[in-house]
Amino acid sequence: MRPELELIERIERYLDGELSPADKTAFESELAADASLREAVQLQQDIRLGLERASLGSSIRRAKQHYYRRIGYRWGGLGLGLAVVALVAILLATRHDRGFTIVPGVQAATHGELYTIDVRHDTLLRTAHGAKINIPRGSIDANGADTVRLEIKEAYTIAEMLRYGLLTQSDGRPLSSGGMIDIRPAEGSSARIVRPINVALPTLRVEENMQRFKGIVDDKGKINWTDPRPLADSSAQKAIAYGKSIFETNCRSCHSLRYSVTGPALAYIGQRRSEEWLYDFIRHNDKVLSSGDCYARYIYNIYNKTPMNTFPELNRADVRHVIDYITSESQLIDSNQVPNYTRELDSCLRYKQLAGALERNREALIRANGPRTDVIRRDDTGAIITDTVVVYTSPAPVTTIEHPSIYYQFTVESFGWYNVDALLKDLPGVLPSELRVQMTPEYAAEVNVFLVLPGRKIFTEGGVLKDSKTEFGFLTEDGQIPLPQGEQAYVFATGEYQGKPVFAVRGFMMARQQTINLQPVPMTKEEITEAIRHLDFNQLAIRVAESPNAVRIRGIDTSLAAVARFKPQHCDCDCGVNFPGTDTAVVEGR
Amino acid sequence: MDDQTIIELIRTGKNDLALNALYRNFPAIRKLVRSHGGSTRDAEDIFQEALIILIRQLKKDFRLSAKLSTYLYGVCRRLWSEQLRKRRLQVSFDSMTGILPGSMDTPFKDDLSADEVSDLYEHLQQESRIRLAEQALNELKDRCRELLLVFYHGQLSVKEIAAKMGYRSENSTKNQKYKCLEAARTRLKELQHQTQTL
Repeated sequence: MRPELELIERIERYLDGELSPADKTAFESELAADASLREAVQLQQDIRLGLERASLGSSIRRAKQHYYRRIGYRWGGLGLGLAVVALVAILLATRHDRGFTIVPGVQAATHGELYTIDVRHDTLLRTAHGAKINIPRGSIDANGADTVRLEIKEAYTIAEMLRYGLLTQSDGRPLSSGGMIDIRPAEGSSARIVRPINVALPTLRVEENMQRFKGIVDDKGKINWTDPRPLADSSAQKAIAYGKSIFETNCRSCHSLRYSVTGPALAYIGQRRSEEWLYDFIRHNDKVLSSGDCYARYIYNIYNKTPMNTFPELNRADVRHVIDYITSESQLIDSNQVPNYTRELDSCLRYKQLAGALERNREALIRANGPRTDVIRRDDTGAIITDTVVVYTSPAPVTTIEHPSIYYQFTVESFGWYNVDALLKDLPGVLPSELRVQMTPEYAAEVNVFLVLPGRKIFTEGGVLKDSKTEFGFLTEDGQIPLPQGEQAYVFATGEYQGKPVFAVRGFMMARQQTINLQPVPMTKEEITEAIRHLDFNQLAIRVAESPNAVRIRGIDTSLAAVARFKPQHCDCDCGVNFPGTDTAVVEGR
Repeated sequence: MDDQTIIELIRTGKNDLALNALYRNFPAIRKLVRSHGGSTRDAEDIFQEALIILIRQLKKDFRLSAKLSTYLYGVCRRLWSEQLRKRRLQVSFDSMTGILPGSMDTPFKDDLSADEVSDLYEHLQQESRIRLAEQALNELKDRCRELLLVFYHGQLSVKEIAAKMGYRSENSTKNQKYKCLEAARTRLKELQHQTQTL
């Protein structure tokens, strides 16, 4: 042995307390003198503690799994479903005339779990680790007793096999094992198996060449596993192999289990999507997409809107087999490294749900606010005029627009003023004219425009002209209106834009044909009052105030901003994307 | 299963059965952690640490001042409050005060004895070193780690281990064990060095 290794051995013996008293004293005096030796001992001590920690850690994980299984949860959210059954089932037994006698033979290192069963009834045992042991009535002869106490040891990992002294060797060659079970009468009882009992062990993964071995105990108490036979129930293996062939033929060109390639990584897909959904999607993903299925559309968007092929020829069993194959193979892959779109989509839909509810409330509050500019006409006595007598209706009138009020509301109140119809009566100085008011498009969509003729007590609202988004007129949609020439007139605009009240007013002398440029700007209440103070708008009041629901709407705006922070980063939350060849279905968050 | 049985199982190396029984305390711990800003996952981690501490202590012939459930709860409270403190430090870059016995148990009523608390601190200080050793072991080749774990269990003779792992002789098995220990030691030293230079 190399000297370095000899030193390691010596340290081990020291830590194990195996050195003779003389050697120990010698070692300790060396230790006192040699700092590098001290460091070496410390490192080795740390490694032993690390081994203890690793070993305890795996025991604790098993206890955790046991706990979750007992209370009926899935394992700690890891999604390790015990989907595939059946493995290497072994009974430690020696041949004894008509049946097998269970003999206490191998001295096992640790006790297993104890069960007392009544041999007069069928018994189905479900062990701590999930094995199912079906003991039909009469299959165990307990020497005439009604009950027998069985000790059951299960081993699924190498550590467990070692703990129970279950060595996996076949004629001197090591075996890999998917799991083993040892059933024997507990100390103090005796029994023999007279008819076969059926054991199904859970395994996370099915291998093609798994076989069942028989354990023969030699005179030293060692087990040799011999007589390999195919699993009595090899349907699991066949199903997995079949699933694999389907996967290779149909899916492999675009999908990998571990990596996202043309399509998403498929490992653990059986845990993320239901079999029903997968069945529909694999066969006709186009139909699932056009039905507005959010998950399907979400994936479709992420993968460049490249539709998957359809596989209408696969039947339900085919789909189940391919899922089983994927589930089995997934056990070799760290589930945390496979993108989980279910989770992201869930956040996304939750966001949509919250934001959608807030938006709906916001819209309802806005509707309840009433018009952005509320026009109230009163007669000379102050009574509100409800039914105006229409003197003239233009064949193509301008249409006034009613904007809902969001944060601000204007009130325009007139006392004893007339509508524009009044101009159509034969009044002196009134001539057919054309009047257009022009403004920039962003404001044009958010304001109401009015014409005021103080000398005639005429006040009327305008509307957008035909084929224009930026020009307003006051009678017909081509801007025609009879006007008294050479008199003072005003146009003003009220509205709100980007959360602020906006206003503009402009005076002009009326002419046969003119275009007035009116540019609203954000203004405070005081600024608006100031802007109209010196105008001779006798008995015409323009006021602005916060809308009735402004405070609540602002509250919702704050909530919306807060909710937006929860929107997943890589989620456009687009359930209503266009899909080629189908109608767009716009789907609200579910 | 009563406390005495559990303690006996642990002292005789039957950790699995004992842990199955101890895990019944988990709901209380989950409630504790979740009501103090943690997730179920956090609760599982904290509980795992507490179980490791408990088992280490019991193997040292440690005398409990209270029931196992009370002890576990007390340890988890402290571990979680320490964890919260660390997280807050990470967020706010508060002045680092180091781990001082008085600093961590303020939010909770004291239910561990003074000895238990000081042992807990000792454990916490060792913990990062042992985690590093565990990491070094995890980075070993599977076969090496498996071999060391088998030796650690101490329930098989060298001959049995040789048969199990497929080595020619007891000597070559031992030799292999020392080589694996050497590899683990070298890696651990590297890791310690990296951590110090960070």
